[in-house]
Amino acid sequence: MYARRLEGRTLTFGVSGMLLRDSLVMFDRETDTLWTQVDGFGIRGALNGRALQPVPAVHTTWKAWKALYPQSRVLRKRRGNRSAYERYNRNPNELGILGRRNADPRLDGKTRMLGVRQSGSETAFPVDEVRAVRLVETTVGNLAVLLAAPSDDGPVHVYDRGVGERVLTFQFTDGDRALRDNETATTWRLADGVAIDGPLAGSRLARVAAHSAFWFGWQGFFPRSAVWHAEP
Amino acid sequence: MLMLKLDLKTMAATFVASILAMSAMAGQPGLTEPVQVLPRDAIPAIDTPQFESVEEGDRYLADDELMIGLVGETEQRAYSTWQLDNHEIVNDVFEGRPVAVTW
Repeated sequence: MYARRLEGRTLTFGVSGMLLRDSLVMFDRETDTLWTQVDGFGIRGALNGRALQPVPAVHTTWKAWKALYPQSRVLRKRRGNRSAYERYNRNPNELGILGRRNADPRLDGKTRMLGVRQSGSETAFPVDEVRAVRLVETTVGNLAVLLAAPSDDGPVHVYDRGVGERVLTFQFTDGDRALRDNETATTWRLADGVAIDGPLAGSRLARVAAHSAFWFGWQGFFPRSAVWHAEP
Repeated sequence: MLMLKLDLKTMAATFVASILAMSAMAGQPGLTEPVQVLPRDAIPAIDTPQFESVEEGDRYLADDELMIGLVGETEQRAYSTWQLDNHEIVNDVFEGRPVAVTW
Protein backbone atom coordinates (compact mmCIF):
# COMPACT_ATOMS: atom_id res chain seq x y z
CA MET A 1 0.00 0.00 0.00
CA TYR A 2 1.54 3.28 -1.13
CA ALA A 3 0.63 6.96 -1.26
CA ARG A 4 0.05 8.08 -4.87
CA ARG A 5 1.11 11.67 -4.17
CA LEU A 6 4.75 12.37 -4.93
CA GLU A 7 6.41 15.76 -5.29
CA GLY A 8 3.13 17.57 -5.94
CA ARG A 9 1.91 15.06 -8.49
CA THR A 10 -0.78 12.39 -8.22
CA LEU A 11 0.27 9.16 -9.90
CA THR A 12 -1.96 6.42 -11.31
CA PHE A 13 -0.45 2.96 -11.41
CA GLY A 14 -0.79 0.08 -13.83
CA VAL A 15 0.65 -3.42 -14.08
CA SER A 16 3.76 -3.32 -16.28
CA GLY A 17 3.75 -7.06 -16.99
CA MET A 18 7.34 -7.18 -15.76
CA LEU A 19 8.76 -9.01 -12.77
CA LEU A 20 11.93 -8.13 -10.89
CA ARG A 21 13.20 -10.82 -8.54
CA ASP A 22 9.79 -12.44 -9.04
CA SER A 23 7.98 -9.40 -7.66
CA LEU A 24 5.45 -7.07 -9.24
CA VAL A 25 6.76 -4.10 -11.23
CA MET A 26 4.25 -1.25 -11.58
CA PHE A 27 4.36 1.74 -13.89
CA ASP A 28 2.71 5.12 -13.53
CA ARG A 29 0.63 6.57 -16.36
CA GLU A 30 1.81 10.15 -15.73
CA THR A 31 5.59 9.70 -16.12
CA ASP A 32 5.96 6.10 -17.33
CA THR A 33 8.36 5.38 -14.47
CA LEU A 34 8.75 1.72 -13.42
CA TRP A 35 8.26 1.02 -9.70
CA THR A 36 9.07 -2.16 -7.78
CA GLN A 37 6.19 -3.12 -5.51
CA VAL A 38 8.14 -4.61 -2.59
CA ASP A 39 10.10 -1.44 -1.81
CA GLY A 40 8.20 1.26 -3.74
CA PHE A 41 11.32 2.49 -5.52
CA GLY A 42 11.40 4.01 -8.98
CA ILE A 43 13.84 1.89 -10.98
CA ARG A 44 13.57 3.31 -14.50
CA GLY A 45 12.14 6.48 -16.07
CA ALA A 46 11.60 10.08 -15.06
CA LEU A 47 11.18 9.33 -11.33
CA ASN A 48 14.04 6.81 -11.17
CA GLY A 49 15.50 6.76 -7.65
CA ARG A 50 12.43 8.26 -5.96
CA ALA A 51 10.56 6.35 -3.26
CA LEU A 52 6.82 6.00 -2.76
CA GLN A 53 5.61 6.52 0.81
CA PRO A 54 4.28 3.25 2.32
CA VAL A 55 0.79 3.49 3.85
CA PRO A 56 -0.06 1.43 6.94
CA ALA A 57 -2.61 -1.32 6.31
CA VAL A 58 -4.19 -4.24 8.11
CA HIS A 59 -3.70 -7.77 6.76
CA THR A 60 -6.22 -10.29 7.98
CA THR A 61 -9.05 -12.64 7.05
CA TRP A 62 -12.51 -11.47 6.08
CA LYS A 63 -13.88 -13.14 9.22
CA ALA A 64 -11.58 -11.17 11.50
CA TRP A 65 -11.97 -7.95 9.50
CA LYS A 66 -15.77 -7.86 9.62
CA ALA A 67 -15.75 -8.54 13.38
CA LEU A 68 -13.27 -5.70 14.02
CA TYR A 69 -14.69 -3.19 11.52
CA PRO A 70 -18.41 -3.93 11.00
CA GLN A 71 -19.10 -0.41 9.72
CA SER A 72 -16.39 -0.57 7.06
CA ARG A 73 -16.83 -0.54 3.28
CA VAL A 74 -15.44 -3.31 1.11
CA LEU A 75 -14.45 -3.41 -2.54
CA ARG A 76 -17.52 -4.61 -4.45
CA LYS A 77 -17.42 -8.28 -5.33
CA ARG A 78 -19.79 -9.95 -7.74
CA ARG A 79 -18.76 -13.59 -7.47
CA GLY A 80 -16.88 -15.85 -5.13
CA ASN A 81 -13.38 -17.08 -5.93
CA ARG A 82 -10.37 -18.60 -4.23
CA SER A 83 -6.92 -17.10 -4.67
CA ALA A 84 -5.36 -17.77 -8.07
CA TYR A 85 -2.16 -18.49 -6.11
CA GLU A 86 -3.62 -20.84 -3.51
CA ARG A 87 -1.54 -23.82 -4.57
CA TYR A 88 1.57 -21.67 -5.01
CA ASN A 89 1.09 -20.05 -1.60
CA ARG A 90 0.97 -23.45 0.10
CA ASN A 91 3.96 -25.00 -1.66
CA PRO A 92 7.03 -24.35 0.51
CA ASN A 93 9.39 -25.29 -2.32
CA GLU A 94 8.01 -23.02 -5.03
CA LEU A 95 9.70 -19.61 -4.74
CA GLY A 96 8.30 -17.12 -7.21
CA ILE A 97 6.55 -17.59 -10.53
CA LEU A 98 9.79 -17.76 -12.49
CA GLY A 99 11.57 -19.73 -9.80
CA ARG A 100 14.10 -18.36 -7.35
CA ARG A 101 16.49 -19.75 -4.81
CA ASN A 102 16.35 -18.64 -1.20
CA ALA A 103 19.58 -16.64 -1.02
CA ASP A 104 19.43 -16.27 2.77
CA PRO A 105 18.69 -19.32 4.93
CA ARG A 106 18.00 -17.34 8.09
CA LEU A 107 14.35 -18.16 7.32
CA ASP A 108 12.68 -20.64 4.98
CA GLY A 109 11.90 -18.96 1.65
CA LYS A 110 8.14 -19.18 2.03
CA THR A 111 8.03 -17.92 5.64
CA ARG A 112 5.23 -15.35 5.94
CA MET A 113 6.59 -12.21 7.52
CA LEU A 114 5.89 -8.55 8.12
CA GLY A 115 8.64 -6.18 7.03
CA VAL A 116 9.09 -2.87 8.84
CA ARG A 117 11.40 -0.17 7.48
CA GLN A 118 12.61 2.95 9.24
CA SER A 119 15.48 5.33 8.57
CA GLY A 120 17.52 2.86 6.54
CA SER A 121 16.92 -0.11 8.81
CA GLU A 122 14.65 -3.03 8.06
CA THR A 123 13.40 -5.87 10.22
CA ALA A 124 11.51 -8.99 9.15
CA PHE A 125 9.04 -10.33 11.72
CA PRO A 126 7.99 -13.95 11.05
CA VAL A 127 4.22 -13.92 11.58
CA ASP A 128 4.02 -17.30 13.32
CA GLU A 129 6.74 -16.30 15.80
CA VAL A 130 4.96 -13.02 16.56
CA ARG A 131 1.70 -14.90 17.13
CA ALA A 132 3.47 -17.30 19.51
CA VAL A 133 4.53 -14.49 21.87
CA ARG A 134 1.48 -12.27 21.05
CA LEU A 135 3.19 -9.00 21.98
CA VAL A 136 6.49 -7.70 20.59
CA GLU A 137 8.14 -4.47 21.72
CA THR A 138 11.31 -3.54 19.90
CA THR A 139 12.89 -0.86 17.73
CA VAL A 140 13.51 -0.61 13.99
CA GLY A 141 15.99 2.17 13.26
CA ASN A 142 14.83 5.00 15.52
CA LEU A 143 11.23 3.77 15.62
CA ALA A 144 9.88 2.10 18.77
CA VAL A 145 7.38 -0.43 17.47
CA LEU A 146 4.73 -2.67 18.94
CA LEU A 147 3.38 -5.79 17.24
CA ALA A 148 0.25 -7.15 18.87
CA ALA A 149 -1.37 -10.43 17.82
CA PRO A 150 -4.20 -11.05 20.30
CA SER A 151 -5.49 -14.13 18.46
CA ASP A 152 -4.20 -16.77 16.10
CA ASP A 153 -6.72 -15.89 13.40
CA GLY A 154 -6.78 -12.10 13.65
CA PRO A 155 -4.43 -9.42 12.34
CA VAL A 156 -1.01 -8.50 13.69
CA HIS A 157 -1.43 -4.84 14.61
CA VAL A 158 1.75 -2.78 14.22
CA TYR A 159 1.89 0.53 16.09
CA ASP A 160 4.41 3.23 16.97
CA ARG A 161 5.07 3.07 20.74
CA GLY A 162 6.04 6.72 20.84
CA VAL A 163 3.34 9.08 22.13
CA GLY A 164 4.56 12.63 22.52
CA GLU A 165 7.84 12.48 24.46
CA ARG A 166 7.07 9.07 25.92
CA VAL A 167 7.89 5.59 24.66
CA LEU A 168 5.29 3.23 26.07
CA THR A 169 5.25 -0.47 26.96
CA PHE A 170 2.04 -2.46 27.00
CA GLN A 171 0.05 -5.44 28.18
CA PHE A 172 -3.22 -6.85 26.91
CA THR A 173 -6.46 -5.93 28.66
CA ASP A 174 -10.24 -5.97 28.08
CA GLY A 175 -10.38 -9.53 26.75
CA ASP A 176 -7.40 -8.81 24.49
CA ARG A 177 -9.36 -6.17 22.58
CA ALA A 178 -7.24 -3.39 24.07
CA LEU A 179 -3.81 -2.63 25.49
CA ARG A 180 -2.92 -0.88 28.74
CA ASP A 181 0.39 0.94 28.90
CA ASN A 182 2.57 0.47 31.95
CA GLU A 183 3.69 4.10 32.12
CA THR A 184 0.34 5.94 32.33
CA ALA A 185 -2.25 3.13 32.70
CA THR A 186 -4.09 4.43 29.66
CA THR A 187 -6.26 1.90 27.77
CA TRP A 188 -5.78 1.78 23.99
CA ARG A 189 -8.21 0.07 21.61
CA LEU A 190 -6.33 -2.36 19.37
CA ALA A 191 -8.59 -2.02 16.31
CA ASP A 192 -7.74 1.63 15.72
CA GLY A 193 -5.15 2.64 18.34
CA VAL A 194 -7.45 5.15 20.06
CA ALA A 195 -6.94 5.75 23.80
CA ILE A 196 -10.39 5.13 25.28
CA ASP A 197 -9.66 5.47 29.01
CA GLY A 198 -7.00 6.94 31.27
CA PRO A 199 -4.71 9.98 31.33
CA LEU A 200 -3.99 9.92 27.58
CA ALA A 201 -7.63 9.31 26.53
CA GLY A 202 -8.30 10.84 23.12
CA SER A 203 -4.72 10.30 21.90
CA ARG A 204 -4.09 7.72 19.23
CA LEU A 205 -1.24 5.34 18.48
CA ALA A 206 0.07 5.73 14.91
CA ARG A 207 -0.19 2.57 12.85
CA VAL A 208 3.12 1.60 11.23
CA ALA A 209 3.40 0.40 7.62
CA ALA A 210 4.39 -3.27 7.59
CA HIS A 211 4.89 -5.06 4.29
CA SER A 212 3.35 -8.53 4.16
CA ALA A 213 5.61 -10.84 2.17
CA PHE A 214 7.30 -14.19 1.85
CA TRP A 215 10.87 -14.06 3.18
CA PHE A 216 12.51 -14.75 -0.19
CA GLY A 217 10.65 -11.81 -1.74
CA TRP A 218 11.54 -9.36 1.04
CA GLN A 219 15.13 -10.59 1.21
CA GLY A 220 15.56 -10.01 -2.53
CA PHE A 221 15.01 -6.28 -2.02
CA PHE A 222 16.34 -5.89 1.53
CA PRO A 223 19.28 -8.32 1.75
CA ARG A 224 20.62 -6.60 4.88
CA SER A 225 17.30 -6.83 6.70
CA ALA A 226 17.45 -7.91 10.32
CA VAL A 227 15.31 -10.88 11.33
CA TRP A 228 13.46 -10.68 14.60
CA HIS A 229 13.17 -13.80 16.78
CA ALA A 230 11.60 -14.22 20.21
CA GLU A 231 14.07 -14.29 23.09
CA PRO A 232 14.76 -17.94 23.92
CA MET B 1 -8.96 -7.42 -32.60
CA LEU B 2 -7.97 -10.83 -33.89
CA MET B 3 -4.73 -9.38 -35.21
CA LEU B 4 -4.05 -7.85 -31.84
CA LYS B 5 -4.69 -11.16 -30.12
CA LEU B 6 -2.36 -12.97 -32.51
CA ASP B 7 0.27 -10.33 -31.86
CA LEU B 8 -0.10 -10.80 -28.15
CA LYS B 9 0.22 -14.55 -28.53
CA THR B 10 3.39 -14.14 -30.52
CA MET B 11 4.73 -11.68 -27.98
CA ALA B 12 3.92 -14.03 -25.14
CA ALA B 13 5.68 -16.89 -26.89
CA THR B 14 8.74 -14.68 -27.38
CA PHE B 15 8.71 -13.70 -23.72
CA VAL B 16 8.53 -17.31 -22.60
CA ALA B 17 11.37 -18.25 -24.95
CA SER B 18 13.54 -15.41 -23.65
CA ILE B 19 12.82 -16.37 -20.06
CA LEU B 20 13.73 -19.98 -20.70
CA ALA B 21 16.95 -18.86 -22.37
CA MET B 22 17.84 -16.59 -19.46
CA SER B 23 16.87 -19.27 -17.01
CA ALA B 24 19.19 -21.76 -18.67
CA MET B 25 22.03 -19.23 -18.58
CA ALA B 26 21.64 -17.73 -15.14
CA GLY B 27 19.17 -19.88 -13.26
CA GLN B 28 17.74 -16.69 -11.78
CA PRO B 29 15.83 -14.73 -14.41
CA GLY B 30 14.91 -11.17 -13.53
CA LEU B 31 17.51 -10.86 -10.82
CA THR B 32 18.94 -7.48 -11.78
CA GLU B 33 16.76 -6.39 -14.70
CA PRO B 34 12.97 -6.67 -14.95
CA VAL B 35 11.69 -9.49 -17.13
CA GLN B 36 8.61 -8.90 -19.29
CA VAL B 37 6.29 -11.85 -18.74
CA LEU B 38 2.98 -10.31 -19.87
CA PRO B 39 2.08 -7.28 -21.98
CA ARG B 40 1.52 -4.02 -20.14
CA ASP B 41 -2.01 -3.78 -18.67
CA ALA B 42 -2.73 -7.44 -19.49
CA ILE B 43 -3.63 -7.52 -15.78
CA PRO B 44 -5.96 -4.51 -15.48
CA ALA B 45 -5.59 -2.26 -12.43
CA ILE B 46 -8.86 -0.95 -10.95
CA ASP B 47 -9.16 2.82 -11.47
CA THR B 48 -12.76 3.41 -10.36
CA PRO B 49 -13.32 1.14 -7.37
CA GLN B 50 -16.89 0.63 -6.11
CA PHE B 51 -17.64 -0.26 -2.51
CA GLU B 52 -20.37 -1.97 -0.56
CA SER B 53 -21.29 -2.71 3.05
CA VAL B 54 -19.97 -5.62 5.11
CA GLU B 55 -23.40 -7.28 4.81
CA GLU B 56 -23.32 -7.00 1.01
CA GLY B 57 -19.69 -8.11 0.81
CA ASP B 58 -20.48 -11.13 2.92
CA ARG B 59 -22.40 -12.70 0.02
CA TYR B 60 -19.25 -13.47 -1.97
CA LEU B 61 -16.37 -13.17 0.50
CA ALA B 62 -15.22 -16.36 2.25
CA ASP B 63 -14.39 -16.24 5.96
CA ASP B 64 -10.79 -17.27 5.27
CA GLU B 65 -10.39 -14.79 2.38
CA LEU B 66 -7.29 -12.66 2.89
CA MET B 67 -7.99 -8.95 3.02
CA ILE B 68 -5.92 -5.81 3.05
CA GLY B 69 -7.59 -2.92 4.81
CA LEU B 70 -7.24 0.76 5.63
CA VAL B 71 -8.22 2.12 9.05
CA GLY B 72 -8.59 5.90 8.91
CA GLU B 73 -9.81 8.68 11.16
CA THR B 74 -13.48 7.96 10.53
CA GLU B 75 -13.60 5.33 7.77
CA GLN B 76 -12.35 1.79 7.22
CA ARG B 77 -12.05 0.16 3.82
CA ALA B 78 -11.14 -3.42 2.87
CA TYR B 79 -10.04 -5.11 -0.34
CA SER B 80 -9.92 -8.85 -1.01
CA THR B 81 -6.43 -9.91 -2.08
CA TRP B 82 -7.99 -12.96 -3.77
CA GLN B 83 -10.12 -10.64 -5.87
CA LEU B 84 -7.08 -8.46 -6.53
CA ASP B 85 -5.03 -11.42 -7.80
CA ASN B 86 -6.71 -10.50 -11.09
CA HIS B 87 -5.97 -6.76 -10.81
CA GLU B 88 -2.87 -6.36 -8.58
CA ILE B 89 -3.47 -2.63 -8.04
CA VAL B 90 -6.39 -0.39 -7.04
CA ASN B 91 -5.97 3.33 -7.65
CA ASP B 92 -8.15 4.66 -4.84
CA VAL B 93 -8.65 7.78 -2.74
CA PHE B 94 -9.11 7.15 0.98
CA GLU B 95 -10.17 9.99 3.30
CA GLY B 96 -8.99 12.42 0.64
CA ARG B 97 -5.60 10.79 0.21
CA PRO B 98 -4.78 9.05 -3.10
CA VAL B 99 -3.46 5.53 -2.40
CA ALA B 100 -2.31 2.59 -4.49
CA VAL B 101 -3.71 -0.59 -2.97
CA THR B 102 -1.14 -3.32 -3.55
CA TRP B 103 0.46 -5.84 -1.25
